[in-house]
Amino acid sequence: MNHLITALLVLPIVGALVVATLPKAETKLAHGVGIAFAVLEFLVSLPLISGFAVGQAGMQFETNVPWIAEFGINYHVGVDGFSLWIILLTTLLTPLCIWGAWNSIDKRGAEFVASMLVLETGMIGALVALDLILFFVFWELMLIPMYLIIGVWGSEQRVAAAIKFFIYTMVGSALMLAAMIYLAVAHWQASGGVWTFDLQALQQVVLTPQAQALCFWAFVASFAIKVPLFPVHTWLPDAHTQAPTPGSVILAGVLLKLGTYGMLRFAFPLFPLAAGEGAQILAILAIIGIIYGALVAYVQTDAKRLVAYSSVSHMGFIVLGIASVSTQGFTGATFQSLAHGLTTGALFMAIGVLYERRHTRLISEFGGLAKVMPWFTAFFMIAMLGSAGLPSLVGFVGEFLIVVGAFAEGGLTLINAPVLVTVAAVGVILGAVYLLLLFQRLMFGPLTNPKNEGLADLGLRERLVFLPVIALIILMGVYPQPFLSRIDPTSQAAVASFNLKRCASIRHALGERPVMMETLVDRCADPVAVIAATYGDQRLSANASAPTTPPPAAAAPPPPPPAAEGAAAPQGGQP
Amino acid sequence: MNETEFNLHFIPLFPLLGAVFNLLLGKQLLRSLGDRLGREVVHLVAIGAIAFSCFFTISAVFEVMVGQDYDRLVDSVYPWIVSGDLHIGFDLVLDHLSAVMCLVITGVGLLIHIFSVGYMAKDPDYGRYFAYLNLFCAAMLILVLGKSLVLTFVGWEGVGVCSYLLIGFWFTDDAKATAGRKAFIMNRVGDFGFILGMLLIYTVVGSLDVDAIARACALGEQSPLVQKLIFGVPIATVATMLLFVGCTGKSAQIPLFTWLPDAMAGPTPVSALIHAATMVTAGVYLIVRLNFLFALAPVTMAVIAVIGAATALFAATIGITQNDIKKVLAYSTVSQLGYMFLAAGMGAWVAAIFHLVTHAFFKACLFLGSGAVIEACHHNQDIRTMGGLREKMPVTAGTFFVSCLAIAGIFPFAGFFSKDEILLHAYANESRGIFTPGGMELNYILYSLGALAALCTSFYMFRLYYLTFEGKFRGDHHTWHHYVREHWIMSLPLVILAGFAAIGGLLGWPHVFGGVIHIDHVLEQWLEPITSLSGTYGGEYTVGVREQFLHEGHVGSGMELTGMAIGLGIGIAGWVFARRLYLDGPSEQAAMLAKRFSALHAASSAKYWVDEIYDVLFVKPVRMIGQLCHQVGDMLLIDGVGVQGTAGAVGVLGTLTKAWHNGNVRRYLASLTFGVAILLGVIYLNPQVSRGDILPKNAAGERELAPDIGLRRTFGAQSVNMDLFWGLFKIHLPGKAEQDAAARRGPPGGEIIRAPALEPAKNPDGRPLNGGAGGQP
Repeated sequence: MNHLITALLVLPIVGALVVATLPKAETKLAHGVGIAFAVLEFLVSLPLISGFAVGQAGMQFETNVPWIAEFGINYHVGVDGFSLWIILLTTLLTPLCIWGAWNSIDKRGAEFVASMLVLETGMIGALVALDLILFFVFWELMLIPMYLIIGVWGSEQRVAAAIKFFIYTMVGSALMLAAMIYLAVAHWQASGGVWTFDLQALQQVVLTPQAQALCFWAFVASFAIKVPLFPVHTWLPDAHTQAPTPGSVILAGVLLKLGTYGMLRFAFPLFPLAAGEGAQILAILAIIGIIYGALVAYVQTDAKRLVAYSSVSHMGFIVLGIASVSTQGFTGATFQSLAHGLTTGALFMAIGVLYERRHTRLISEFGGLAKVMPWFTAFFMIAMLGSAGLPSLVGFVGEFLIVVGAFAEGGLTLINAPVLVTVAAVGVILGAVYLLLLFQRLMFGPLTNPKNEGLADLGLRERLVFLPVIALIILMGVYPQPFLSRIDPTSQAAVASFNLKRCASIRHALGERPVMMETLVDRCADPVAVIAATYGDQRLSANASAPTTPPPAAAAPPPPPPAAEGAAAPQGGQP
Repeated sequence: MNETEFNLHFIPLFPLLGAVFNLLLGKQLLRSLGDRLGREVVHLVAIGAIAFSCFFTISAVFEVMVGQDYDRLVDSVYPWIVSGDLHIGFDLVLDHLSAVMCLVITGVGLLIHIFSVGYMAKDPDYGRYFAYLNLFCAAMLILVLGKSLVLTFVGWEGVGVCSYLLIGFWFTDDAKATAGRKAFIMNRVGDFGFILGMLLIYTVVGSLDVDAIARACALGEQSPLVQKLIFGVPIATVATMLLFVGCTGKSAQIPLFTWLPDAMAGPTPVSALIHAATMVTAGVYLIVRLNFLFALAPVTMAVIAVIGAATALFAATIGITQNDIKKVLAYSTVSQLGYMFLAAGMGAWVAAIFHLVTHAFFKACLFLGSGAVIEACHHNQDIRTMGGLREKMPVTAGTFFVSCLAIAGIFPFAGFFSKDEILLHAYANESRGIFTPGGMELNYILYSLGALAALCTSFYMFRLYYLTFEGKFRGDHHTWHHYVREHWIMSLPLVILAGFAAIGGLLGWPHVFGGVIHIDHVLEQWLEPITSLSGTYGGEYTVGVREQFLHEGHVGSGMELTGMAIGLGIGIAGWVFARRLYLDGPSEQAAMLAKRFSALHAASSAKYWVDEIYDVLFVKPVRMIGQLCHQVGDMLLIDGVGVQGTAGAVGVLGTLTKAWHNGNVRRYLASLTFGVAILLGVIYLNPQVSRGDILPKNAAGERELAPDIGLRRTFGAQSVNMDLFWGLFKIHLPGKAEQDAAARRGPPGGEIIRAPALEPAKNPDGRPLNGGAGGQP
């Protein structure tokens, strides 16, 4: 039992309550208290790194206490390689965002800060939850403060954007909830009457192929909207454009990642058979998104909209990595989540700086800013190059791992993976095209607009807000290993357990009822061989084609399945 | 192989630190220490950093490698990207090839840093300039020192960014910023190929370490790189083609060359360092670095040779008509790089590197010379308004002339030897039956292209020289009288570089002269450990063996001497021709010739409209498709039809159904009754439902408790497990059948799939399925 995560979940809520009780007129005080709580939250989250056992794949810092015992709903939280760094990204970005908005939020400051803090709890909760209902609660909890942030503190068409955001997300959530309940019932059946919503227990249920497909796509519908995947991405440009700067930063930095995180954590491991078959569709949608997002970004006239569309393009890479179901793909996807959060977060902050000064986001209003705002230009350039995937900056590492994973190892789930990767790589070219164009039109050229002549460069506060993000963009590109080494074991284990369960699902392909994994495991000694025999093996990697060489760590036979927790009432015990 | 650990990371580290120092403090220094002292600190730090690298490299190469007889020095700095089987270390290696490159980069780089002190003396962004220059050197050193291809790629993109920053150094001029962006994007197109090439190699070799690739290639034709196919083509061929795409971008070859002439927007020392001596040769370096891999792909080799030769001639013909002093040199660079690729494509690795080195000397000297001229003429670059400058700047003119002799291939200057070696290889290396247009062997075509390009080279270089330095001054009075005097800090690098341009040929003294003066082909011997990697294969994969042919006399000394004579003749012909036409400014004859061949002349001076063609083919369509996606895809289809359509449909439905909810209780009651009647009717009029025989019978003729099959019959192929829902209809199930079924079931495990599936009929406590709707007896 470890209370660190619980502290992380409670602290922002306490902060929000404190802020809400402060006198209404004291906006700056509320802001300051909010920052203090957010910073405290960040400090409290640091032991996650120091206490994290490197090389361990499973959950750490776990807490599991019953919540609604009749239905087996638990308060079960924990952290592993997939969630660790995104949680830290959340706790880092939240104080920076609140601090960054020191001047730009001019009404209802206390409410704004409280919303941000509640949002933080929602995001961290969704990242640590290991119980489906708990996850769903946090998932929906994120929605409300974000809705308010866009709808109350946004720009001109904020209400329309907020409603669009809300309804889009709700549609997905409804489907996901139905699938969650279905899955729990299936477990109830398969296990002989044990109710549970615990992720690790539900992991042990093997659904029939058709049921897997329905559940998988119900989960994916929710996550794909969040990512957002083409063609359900159109809420994003509106939400980003209308949201205030901190809202955009959190939205791009963390909220979108929850979509891909959900795929990694729930949709793929729970329904591997359907995921294996659906990966191709996901990958194609992701690649369409990569190219389409880049092309649309290229023609935007609004700087914020441009960056928003670039998110559509970049998130496509993450989905591609997940769809490849490979160690590098999973690790790369997780790392790229961080990379995108930092670079796009920084770009949104930068555009926020411009908006604060000039109250316009139109690219054509600017030009030649490098002369008057050198610090700003330097930070913007590093973020821009990081976003464009320049090696030695953060964006390259994730992108490279993803393309390696998809290209070499993706052949079990993807058809013609090299072709897919080739098309995706065109997105890398286009990424440079629109980002450099944006940069040139904002920063270079003569300073023609007289309104820009007096623009102040970044002040000390703004520089301090940018500094950690920019420093991480460089550090994580130059020396990503501390990050990767904590993600990678989880990825390896996830791939192995995915393959095992996929194999079990194949064994159960003709079944008509959900069953527990344990009844199938003894027929899954070599999962990859079974998958390859069923779906074909298109992997190009060296170890796939040369079975004589001893398989390296990643290809080693998966560990024996963990005992189904709590739910494993023996079949014979039934009346 | 004989290797040892050595702290190689200092070589790129010092320029990197210099760059960081000047980026952070450069501006402050100029402000706080005063202009003069501030500049001193800035350039001393920058020059000190690169000088340190230079001396460190020299000591590593000459004391450790030569002195202690090590083949290579390695340095594993830290693991960079590790995931699953993929291991990419930040590992550096200094072997015979990277030693040559490092010496060129740090040596020429140091001279250009020194020259920049004079050239940029009045620029307000002094610190930023030197920071970028240092950063470039660091990236370029990582490129050549990287042990893994990925690390090479880090340097590869790193130099691209520095190039982007330095081309657009004077960013307030939008055209210059655009030129930088163009360079970056065209390089990105090439890098796209580089990444895919790396991925393909990784899939076969399982590593991107150059040593691992070399081991995989050592099997020759049996190598998995050749044996494994992708789309029916050996992976080695596809991978090398993709890598070569990367090379065309970085080294400005057809079709990705148009960025280099535009790159002349940057400060001239930058053009000398990046766009002549170092960065643009990275493609050649990459091919020679991976010579063992390219040797396994004869088709790629032929393509490289053809592209190289074609680029050499194509760019040379453009160079003839350009009037901007830097543009001439830019096209000349493209053309000379073409020679290097021609050599590489012929498997003449040594010749390629030899020309790379000599070209670095004379082209850097030419560019710096042009920089001095531009500075003297108050940033005028048009050679039509120059002339007679020799009188004002004798050192520049002299060094420029020496370099012209070198590039034109006049004996005994450096270019003569290196260019001649390439042409000899082109002539002697019979094509391997891959490409014989019209029955003619490829090598004769390549030789002719190369020789023709040499003629053009000699002509445009001396045209440039005579128009700039000889004759009468054609510019305005003011410039002539107030020219900027030569300063030693700019002249010194010129003199040193011209010295190397004059004697650099000694590095590759031909064997045929061996009998006359006893000097070995130093470079060939030095690069032996690298080139021998590809020289061991038999059959058609023999490109590396070409080196041996020369030793063993397959190419007769007569042929070699004849080749030299022809080369020299070509060089002199071009010189004489240019002298006749341009000795005293552009002569009437020149104008007449231009008129007679007006179509050719127009095409050449318009650079064959390549930029315009690319604009129509790529730039505009991408913009159009982008607009289309935005307007039609997002706004019309997804948001318009999809989102608004759904919202609209919901709205219409709402309006329609609103009418029923009018608060009239009688109507509510009526619809309620009506609805219940329909439901009951459906249930009781459907014989299957009412009789409860929707459940299939089993072998014993009794109904099984598998109600979902009944549903499946109703709803088609859907087999969603609907037990919970189905509990509603359990009223009709006979109790006895259920008991029998439970008895028949027996112990679990026998029927893995079905056994547990039958459980949910009851809970352990015996409660009915979902609490109450059913009537469990």
